[in-house]
Amino acid sequence: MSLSFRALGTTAVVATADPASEGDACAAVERELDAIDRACSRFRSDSELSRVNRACGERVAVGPLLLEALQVALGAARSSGGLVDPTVGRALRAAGYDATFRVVAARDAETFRAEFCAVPGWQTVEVDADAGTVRVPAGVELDLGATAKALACDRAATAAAAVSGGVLVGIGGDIAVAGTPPAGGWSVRIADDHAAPVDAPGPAVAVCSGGLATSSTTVRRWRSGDVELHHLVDPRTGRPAESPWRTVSVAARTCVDANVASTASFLVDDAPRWLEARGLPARLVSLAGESTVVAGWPEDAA
Amino acid sequence: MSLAVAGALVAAFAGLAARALPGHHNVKATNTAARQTTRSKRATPPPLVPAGSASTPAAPAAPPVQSQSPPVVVSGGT
Repeated sequence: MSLSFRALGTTAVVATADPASEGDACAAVERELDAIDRACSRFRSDSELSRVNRACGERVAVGPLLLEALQVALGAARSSGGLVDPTVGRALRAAGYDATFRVVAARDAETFRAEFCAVPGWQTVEVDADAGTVRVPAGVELDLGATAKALACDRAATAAAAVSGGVLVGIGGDIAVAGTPPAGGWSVRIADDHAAPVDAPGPAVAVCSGGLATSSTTVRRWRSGDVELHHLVDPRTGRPAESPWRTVSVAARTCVDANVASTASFLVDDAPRWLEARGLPARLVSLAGESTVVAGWPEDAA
Repeated sequence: MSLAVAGALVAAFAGLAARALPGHHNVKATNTAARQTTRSKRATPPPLVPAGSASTPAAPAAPPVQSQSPPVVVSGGT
Protein backbone atom coordinates (compact mmCIF):
# COMPACT_ATOMS: atom_id res chain seq x y z
CA MET A 1 0.00 0.00 0.00
CA SER A 2 1.19 3.52 -0.69
CA LEU A 3 -0.09 7.08 -0.59
CA SER A 4 0.84 9.82 -3.04
CA PHE A 5 0.43 13.59 -2.97
CA ARG A 6 1.86 16.70 -4.65
CA ALA A 7 5.00 18.17 -3.15
CA LEU A 8 8.06 20.13 -4.34
CA GLY A 9 6.45 20.61 -7.75
CA THR A 10 6.20 16.87 -8.32
CA THR A 11 4.64 13.73 -6.84
CA ALA A 12 5.59 12.28 -3.47
CA VAL A 13 4.92 8.64 -2.60
CA VAL A 14 5.01 7.12 0.89
CA ALA A 15 4.80 3.37 1.50
CA THR A 16 5.08 1.67 4.87
CA ALA A 17 5.81 -1.92 5.83
CA ASP A 18 3.05 -1.63 8.43
CA PRO A 19 -0.10 -0.23 6.77
CA ALA A 20 -1.40 0.93 10.15
CA SER A 21 1.39 3.48 10.43
CA GLU A 22 0.88 5.03 7.01
CA GLY A 23 -0.82 8.16 8.37
CA ASP A 24 1.96 8.91 10.84
CA ALA A 25 4.57 8.33 8.15
CA CYS A 26 2.81 10.64 5.71
CA ALA A 27 2.53 13.40 8.29
CA ALA A 28 6.25 13.15 9.03
CA VAL A 29 7.10 13.23 5.32
CA GLU A 30 4.86 16.23 4.66
CA ARG A 31 6.52 18.18 7.47
CA GLU A 32 9.98 17.50 6.03
CA LEU A 33 9.00 18.37 2.47
CA ASP A 34 7.30 21.58 3.55
CA ALA A 35 10.44 22.61 5.43
CA ILE A 36 12.68 21.82 2.44
CA ASP A 37 10.39 23.76 0.12
CA ARG A 38 10.43 26.86 2.34
CA ALA A 39 14.22 26.68 2.65
CA CYS A 40 15.40 25.55 -0.78
CA SER A 41 12.87 26.37 -3.49
CA ARG A 42 14.10 28.50 -6.39
CA PHE A 43 10.48 29.19 -7.38
CA ARG A 44 9.20 30.61 -4.08
CA SER A 45 9.96 34.28 -3.59
CA ASP A 46 9.68 33.78 0.19
CA SER A 47 12.17 30.90 0.38
CA GLU A 48 15.52 31.30 2.09
CA LEU A 49 17.27 30.36 -1.13
CA SER A 50 15.52 33.17 -3.01
CA ARG A 51 16.71 35.61 -0.34
CA VAL A 52 20.29 34.45 -0.88
CA ASN A 53 19.94 34.75 -4.67
CA ARG A 54 18.54 38.30 -4.31
CA ALA A 55 21.17 39.51 -1.84
CA CYS A 56 23.44 41.13 -4.48
CA GLY A 57 26.62 39.78 -2.94
CA GLU A 58 25.69 40.48 0.67
CA ARG A 59 26.08 37.86 3.37
CA VAL A 60 22.72 36.37 4.44
CA ALA A 61 21.81 34.58 7.67
CA VAL A 62 20.05 31.29 6.94
CA GLY A 63 18.52 28.48 8.95
CA PRO A 64 20.07 25.08 9.62
CA LEU A 65 18.13 23.30 6.87
CA LEU A 66 19.33 25.52 4.02
CA LEU A 67 22.78 25.38 5.54
CA GLU A 68 22.67 21.59 5.41
CA ALA A 69 21.29 21.61 1.86
CA LEU A 70 24.07 23.95 0.73
CA GLN A 71 26.73 21.84 2.36
CA VAL A 72 25.30 18.76 0.66
CA ALA A 73 25.24 20.60 -2.69
CA LEU A 74 28.82 21.81 -2.30
CA GLY A 75 29.93 18.34 -1.21
CA ALA A 76 28.28 16.95 -4.36
CA ALA A 77 30.08 19.54 -6.46
CA ARG A 78 33.41 18.69 -4.94
CA SER A 79 32.95 14.92 -5.13
CA SER A 80 31.82 15.11 -8.76
CA GLY A 81 34.69 17.35 -9.80
CA GLY A 82 32.26 20.21 -10.36
CA LEU A 83 29.89 18.30 -12.64
CA VAL A 84 26.98 18.64 -10.22
CA ASP A 85 27.15 22.34 -9.48
CA PRO A 86 24.60 24.43 -7.51
CA THR A 87 25.58 27.66 -9.31
CA VAL A 88 23.72 26.68 -12.49
CA GLY A 89 20.69 28.73 -11.41
CA ARG A 90 21.27 31.64 -13.77
CA ALA A 91 22.11 29.36 -16.70
CA LEU A 92 18.90 27.41 -16.12
CA ARG A 93 16.85 30.61 -15.90
CA ALA A 94 18.40 32.07 -19.05
CA ALA A 95 17.78 28.82 -20.92
CA GLY A 96 14.10 29.11 -20.02
CA TYR A 97 13.66 27.13 -16.82
CA ASP A 98 12.69 30.23 -14.86
CA ALA A 99 9.43 29.07 -13.29
CA THR A 100 7.77 25.86 -12.19
CA PHE A 101 7.89 23.42 -15.06
CA ARG A 102 4.15 23.62 -15.67
CA VAL A 103 4.66 27.28 -16.65
CA VAL A 104 7.76 26.54 -18.71
CA ALA A 105 6.04 23.76 -20.64
CA ALA A 106 3.06 26.00 -21.46
CA ARG A 107 5.24 28.73 -23.01
CA ASP A 108 5.04 29.51 -26.73
CA ALA A 109 8.18 27.89 -28.14
CA GLU A 110 7.99 29.92 -31.35
CA THR A 111 8.40 33.26 -29.60
CA PHE A 112 10.60 32.22 -26.67
CA ARG A 113 14.36 32.61 -27.21
CA ALA A 114 16.73 30.80 -24.86
CA GLU A 115 20.02 32.38 -23.86
CA PHE A 116 23.10 30.65 -22.53
CA CYS A 117 25.58 31.90 -19.98
CA ALA A 118 28.66 30.61 -18.20
CA VAL A 119 28.31 28.89 -14.84
CA PRO A 120 30.39 30.74 -12.21
CA GLY A 121 31.31 27.61 -10.29
CA TRP A 122 30.59 26.22 -6.84
CA GLN A 123 33.84 27.69 -5.42
CA THR A 124 32.22 31.13 -5.51
CA VAL A 125 29.77 30.15 -2.77
CA GLU A 126 30.81 31.13 0.74
CA VAL A 127 29.21 29.26 3.61
CA ASP A 128 30.10 30.06 7.19
CA ALA A 129 28.59 27.18 9.12
CA ASP A 130 29.57 28.59 12.50
CA ALA A 131 27.95 31.96 11.83
CA GLY A 132 25.05 30.41 9.88
CA THR A 133 25.57 32.69 6.90
CA VAL A 134 25.82 32.32 3.14
CA ARG A 135 27.17 34.67 0.49
CA VAL A 136 27.14 34.35 -3.26
CA PRO A 137 28.64 37.05 -5.49
CA ALA A 138 26.20 39.41 -7.19
CA GLY A 139 24.83 37.75 -10.32
CA VAL A 140 25.37 34.19 -9.09
CA GLU A 141 22.15 32.24 -8.65
CA LEU A 142 21.90 28.96 -6.80
CA ASP A 143 19.74 26.04 -7.86
CA LEU A 144 19.68 23.11 -5.46
CA GLY A 145 17.37 21.01 -7.60
CA ALA A 146 19.86 18.23 -8.18
CA THR A 147 20.53 17.52 -4.53
CA ALA A 148 17.79 19.16 -2.43
CA LYS A 149 15.08 16.78 -3.63
CA ALA A 150 17.30 13.80 -2.86
CA LEU A 151 18.16 15.27 0.54
CA ALA A 152 14.45 15.72 1.17
CA CYS A 153 13.96 12.02 0.40
CA ASP A 154 16.69 10.93 2.79
CA ARG A 155 15.48 13.20 5.58
CA ALA A 156 11.82 12.33 5.08
CA ALA A 157 12.52 8.58 5.09
CA THR A 158 14.51 8.88 8.32
CA ALA A 159 11.80 10.98 9.96
CA ALA A 160 9.01 8.66 8.82
CA ALA A 161 10.88 5.52 9.89
CA ALA A 162 11.15 6.96 13.38
CA VAL A 163 7.35 6.93 13.73
CA SER A 164 6.36 4.05 11.47
CA GLY A 165 9.12 1.47 11.13
CA GLY A 166 9.99 0.38 7.60
CA VAL A 167 9.23 3.07 5.04
CA LEU A 168 9.87 4.04 1.43
CA VAL A 169 9.71 7.67 0.35
CA GLY A 170 9.70 8.61 -3.31
CA ILE A 171 9.81 12.18 -4.58
CA GLY A 172 9.66 12.69 -8.32
CA GLY A 173 11.53 9.47 -9.03
CA ASP A 174 14.13 9.79 -6.26
CA ILE A 175 13.70 7.10 -3.62
CA ALA A 176 14.98 6.55 -0.08
CA VAL A 177 14.14 3.66 2.21
CA ALA A 178 14.66 3.39 5.95
CA GLY A 179 13.83 0.99 8.76
CA THR A 180 13.03 -2.67 8.27
CA PRO A 181 11.83 -3.38 4.71
CA PRO A 182 9.07 -5.84 3.84
CA ALA A 183 10.10 -9.39 2.92
CA GLY A 184 11.84 -9.30 -0.44
CA GLY A 185 12.53 -5.57 -0.21
CA TRP A 186 10.76 -2.58 -1.72
CA SER A 187 9.77 -3.16 -5.33
CA VAL A 188 10.54 -0.25 -7.66
CA ARG A 189 9.58 0.13 -11.32
CA ILE A 190 12.33 1.72 -13.44
CA ALA A 191 11.15 4.05 -16.21
CA ASP A 192 12.19 7.11 -18.22
CA ASP A 193 9.47 9.18 -16.55
CA HIS A 194 8.61 9.02 -12.85
CA ALA A 195 4.99 9.77 -13.77
CA ALA A 196 4.66 6.40 -15.53
CA PRO A 197 2.19 4.01 -13.87
CA VAL A 198 3.67 1.38 -11.57
CA ASP A 199 2.45 -1.35 -13.93
CA ALA A 200 4.12 0.26 -16.96
CA PRO A 201 6.45 -1.93 -19.04
CA GLY A 202 10.05 -2.04 -17.88
CA PRO A 203 12.26 -3.66 -15.28
CA ALA A 204 11.44 -3.75 -11.59
CA VAL A 205 14.07 -4.07 -8.88
CA ALA A 206 13.91 -4.61 -5.13
CA VAL A 207 15.90 -2.46 -2.70
CA CYS A 208 16.29 -2.97 1.03
CA SER A 209 18.29 0.05 2.13
CA GLY A 210 19.76 3.37 1.01
CA GLY A 211 18.65 5.32 -2.02
CA LEU A 212 17.83 4.97 -5.69
CA ALA A 213 17.68 7.84 -8.15
CA THR A 214 16.92 8.12 -11.83
CA SER A 215 17.91 11.08 -13.97
CA SER A 216 16.57 11.47 -17.47
CA THR A 217 16.66 13.99 -20.26
CA THR A 218 13.39 12.67 -21.69
CA VAL A 219 11.26 14.71 -19.27
CA ARG A 220 11.35 18.43 -18.40
CA ARG A 221 12.11 19.34 -21.99
CA TRP A 222 11.08 22.58 -23.68
CA ARG A 223 11.75 24.32 -26.95
CA SER A 224 13.23 27.61 -28.08
CA GLY A 225 12.24 27.88 -31.70
CA ASP A 226 13.56 24.71 -33.30
CA VAL A 227 16.00 23.94 -30.48
CA GLU A 228 15.03 21.29 -27.95
CA LEU A 229 16.29 21.96 -24.40
CA HIS A 230 16.31 20.04 -21.11
CA HIS A 231 16.98 20.78 -17.45
CA LEU A 232 20.31 19.02 -17.03
CA VAL A 233 22.84 21.80 -17.54
CA ASP A 234 26.51 21.06 -18.14
CA PRO A 235 28.42 23.49 -15.84
CA ARG A 236 31.33 23.52 -18.28
CA THR A 237 29.25 24.98 -21.10
CA GLY A 238 26.18 26.50 -19.44
CA ARG A 239 24.06 24.55 -21.95
CA PRO A 240 21.90 21.44 -21.66
CA ALA A 241 24.20 18.42 -21.45
CA GLU A 242 24.94 16.39 -24.54
CA SER A 243 25.15 12.73 -23.60
CA PRO A 244 24.84 9.31 -25.21
CA TRP A 245 22.40 8.41 -22.40
CA ARG A 246 18.77 9.33 -22.02
CA THR A 247 18.09 7.78 -18.60
CA VAL A 248 20.40 6.63 -15.81
CA SER A 249 19.31 4.89 -12.59
CA VAL A 250 21.75 4.44 -9.70
CA ALA A 251 21.53 2.73 -6.30
CA ALA A 252 23.72 4.11 -3.52
CA ARG A 253 24.11 4.38 0.23
CA THR A 254 21.82 7.42 0.27
CA CYS A 255 19.44 9.05 -2.14
CA VAL A 256 21.77 12.07 -2.32
CA ASP A 257 24.66 9.85 -3.38
CA ALA A 258 22.45 8.10 -5.94
CA ASN A 259 21.25 11.42 -7.35
CA VAL A 260 24.75 12.89 -7.60
CA ALA A 261 25.93 9.79 -9.45
CA SER A 262 22.94 9.60 -11.82
CA THR A 263 23.33 13.30 -12.67
CA ALA A 264 27.10 13.11 -13.13
CA SER A 265 26.66 10.09 -15.41
CA PHE A 266 25.31 12.44 -18.09
CA LEU A 267 28.50 14.50 -17.96
CA VAL A 268 31.43 12.11 -17.53
CA ASP A 269 33.19 10.67 -20.57
CA ASP A 270 32.59 7.00 -19.83
CA ALA A 271 29.66 6.70 -17.43
CA PRO A 272 29.58 2.87 -17.10
CA ARG A 273 33.26 2.84 -16.21
CA TRP A 274 32.87 5.81 -13.82
CA LEU A 275 30.02 4.05 -12.00
CA GLU A 276 31.74 0.65 -11.97
CA ALA A 277 34.89 2.20 -10.48
CA ARG A 278 32.82 3.49 -7.58
CA GLY A 279 30.92 0.24 -7.07
CA LEU A 280 27.61 1.96 -7.80
CA PRO A 281 25.00 -0.43 -9.22
CA ALA A 282 23.39 1.33 -12.17
CA ARG A 283 21.28 0.89 -15.27
CA LEU A 284 21.91 3.21 -18.21
CA VAL A 285 19.64 3.58 -21.21
CA SER A 286 21.16 4.93 -24.41
CA LEU A 287 19.47 7.43 -26.71
CA ALA A 288 18.61 4.45 -28.91
CA GLY A 289 16.92 2.67 -26.00
CA GLU A 290 19.53 0.00 -25.31
CA SER A 291 20.22 -0.70 -21.65
CA THR A 292 23.56 -1.35 -19.93
CA VAL A 293 23.88 -2.51 -16.32
CA VAL A 294 26.96 -2.22 -14.09
CA ALA A 295 28.23 -3.07 -10.60
CA GLY A 296 25.67 -5.71 -9.75
CA TRP A 297 22.48 -4.06 -11.05
CA PRO A 298 20.33 -7.00 -12.28
CA GLU A 299 19.93 -7.60 -16.00
CA ASP A 300 16.55 -6.69 -17.45
CA ALA A 301 14.24 -9.69 -17.40
CA ALA A 302 13.71 -11.23 -20.84
CA MET B 1 83.72 69.75 6.95
CA SER B 2 82.82 70.59 3.39
CA LEU B 3 83.69 67.05 2.41
CA ALA B 4 81.33 65.68 5.05
CA VAL B 5 78.52 67.99 3.89
CA ALA B 6 79.13 67.03 0.27
CA GLY B 7 79.11 63.35 1.21
CA ALA B 8 75.85 63.72 3.09
CA LEU B 9 74.28 65.59 0.17
CA VAL B 10 75.40 62.89 -2.28
CA ALA B 11 73.99 60.19 -0.04
CA ALA B 12 70.69 62.04 0.35
CA PHE B 13 70.31 62.62 -3.40
CA ALA B 14 71.23 59.01 -4.10
CA GLY B 15 68.52 57.86 -1.71
CA LEU B 16 65.91 60.15 -3.25
CA ALA B 17 66.87 59.09 -6.76
CA ALA B 18 66.67 55.42 -5.83
CA ARG B 19 63.19 55.88 -4.34
CA ALA B 20 62.06 57.77 -7.42
CA LEU B 21 63.13 54.99 -9.78
CA PRO B 22 60.20 52.88 -10.95
CA GLY B 23 62.05 49.66 -10.23
CA HIS B 24 62.82 50.44 -6.61
CA HIS B 25 62.85 47.02 -5.07
CA ASN B 26 61.67 47.74 -1.57
CA VAL B 27 58.67 49.81 -2.61
CA LYS B 28 57.61 47.44 -5.35
CA ALA B 29 58.05 44.36 -3.21
CA THR B 30 55.91 45.85 -0.46
CA ASN B 31 53.15 46.90 -2.81
CA THR B 32 53.10 43.55 -4.61
CA ALA B 33 52.94 41.69 -1.37
CA ALA B 34 50.06 43.87 -0.25
CA ARG B 35 48.20 43.34 -3.52
CA GLN B 36 48.74 39.59 -3.38
CA THR B 37 47.47 39.44 0.16
CA THR B 38 44.34 41.33 -0.82
CA ARG B 39 43.78 39.18 -3.90
CA SER B 40 44.24 35.92 -2.06
CA LYS B 41 41.82 37.05 0.62
CA ARG B 42 39.21 37.78 -2.01
CA ALA B 43 39.81 34.71 -4.15
CA THR B 44 39.85 32.10 -1.40
CA PRO B 45 36.48 31.49 0.16
CA PRO B 46 36.39 30.28 3.76
CA PRO B 47 36.34 26.55 4.45
CA LEU B 48 32.96 25.45 3.19
CA VAL B 49 32.26 21.80 3.56
CA PRO B 50 33.08 19.77 6.65
CA ALA B 51 35.79 17.17 6.08
CA GLY B 52 34.37 13.92 4.84
CA SER B 53 31.21 15.32 3.30
CA ALA B 54 32.87 15.57 -0.09
CA SER B 55 33.54 11.87 -0.33
CA THR B 56 32.69 10.14 -3.55
CA PRO B 57 29.12 8.74 -3.81
CA ALA B 58 29.10 5.58 -1.72
CA ALA B 59 27.85 2.16 -2.79
CA PRO B 60 24.74 0.70 -1.16
CA ALA B 61 24.93 -2.05 1.46
CA ALA B 62 23.61 -4.42 -1.21
CA PRO B 63 22.80 -3.96 -4.90
CA PRO B 64 19.19 -4.08 -6.09
CA VAL B 65 17.88 -7.50 -7.13
CA GLN B 66 15.17 -8.60 -9.52
CA SER B 67 11.85 -7.81 -7.90
CA GLN B 68 9.48 -10.67 -7.16
CA SER B 69 6.54 -8.50 -6.15
CA PRO B 70 4.42 -5.77 -7.75
CA PRO B 71 6.14 -2.35 -7.69
CA VAL B 72 4.90 0.26 -5.22
CA VAL B 73 6.65 3.23 -6.82
CA VAL B 74 8.32 4.36 -10.04
CA SER B 75 11.86 5.67 -10.25
CA GLY B 76 12.16 7.81 -13.35
CA GLY B 77 13.20 11.20 -14.54
CA THR B 78 11.45 14.29 -13.26
